[in-house]
Amino acid sequence: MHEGLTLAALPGLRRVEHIMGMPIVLDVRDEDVDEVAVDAMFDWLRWVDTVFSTYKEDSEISRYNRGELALGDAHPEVARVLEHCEQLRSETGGYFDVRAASADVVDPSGFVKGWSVDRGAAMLDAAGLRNYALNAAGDMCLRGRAVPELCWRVGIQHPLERDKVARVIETTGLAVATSGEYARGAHILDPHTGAPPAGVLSVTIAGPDLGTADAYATAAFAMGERGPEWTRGIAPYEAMIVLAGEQVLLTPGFADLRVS
Amino acid sequence: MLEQEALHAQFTGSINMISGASDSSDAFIQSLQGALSAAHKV
Repeated sequence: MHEGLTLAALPGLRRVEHIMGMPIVLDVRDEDVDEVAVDAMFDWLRWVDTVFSTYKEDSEISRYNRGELALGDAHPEVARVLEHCEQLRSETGGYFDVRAASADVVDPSGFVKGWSVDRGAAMLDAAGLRNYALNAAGDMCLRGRAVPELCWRVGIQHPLERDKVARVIETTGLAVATSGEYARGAHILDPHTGAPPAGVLSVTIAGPDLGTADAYATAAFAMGERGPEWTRGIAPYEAMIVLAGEQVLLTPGFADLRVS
Repeated sequence: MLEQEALHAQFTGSINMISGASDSSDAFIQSLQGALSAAHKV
């Protein structure tokens, strides 16, 4: 409470909803908030979940994977998302792959989360919202400022001491995504070897779009020790990689985001 | 070139959000606590 600002002075709106199997936090700092637009944004995320969830048996993705729904008969967004995932597979040398778990089944969840948050943020932008954070379980879109005097300050979680952060970045408009194994054990596999990657604790990517940032973070993590070299060529996206040897590697642009 | 430095642990004061690995409940809970405590005090 003694950081120069009291929370009581915060304008705007805070809302949390559980969608896509995760809590989604919207923190708006504008004076006046179009709550109809906020409702529509959460409705959009729920719609995405009903269409793309691999956990729901009647989702279009599940029906497509069982061969019950042709791509041409699915909602056009399904084909667009799979096309975008194919592009990301190519950009990442196959390390982001919706067929990583099985050649017979597509699981675009690793892109859909960020993509749907990007689209949700575009809806809020169109409705005139200027200063907000939209955070989907640690991956987020940021716009404007937290308060007029201060940018958004985002802590990058420390992969070994989880009540602490490894770095703080300051931004007025970026997407930030982090991939790592520390949250739920090995779930990202190198699609080329089928084995979990070694040598890297976490990868954080910051850049214009959350869908791309999230896919790049997953891919760079899956690359293991080759990930850092790959992140040198992904501008305008920037990377922070925490190595198992407790060294941190940063692209120059990520280093410039630092405030502490 | 990539810049290299040692990993440091910092306390989470004075930040608005935490970016962590997907399904990282810790990162989420901290974000949630921030959002809820802000909401309760408005």
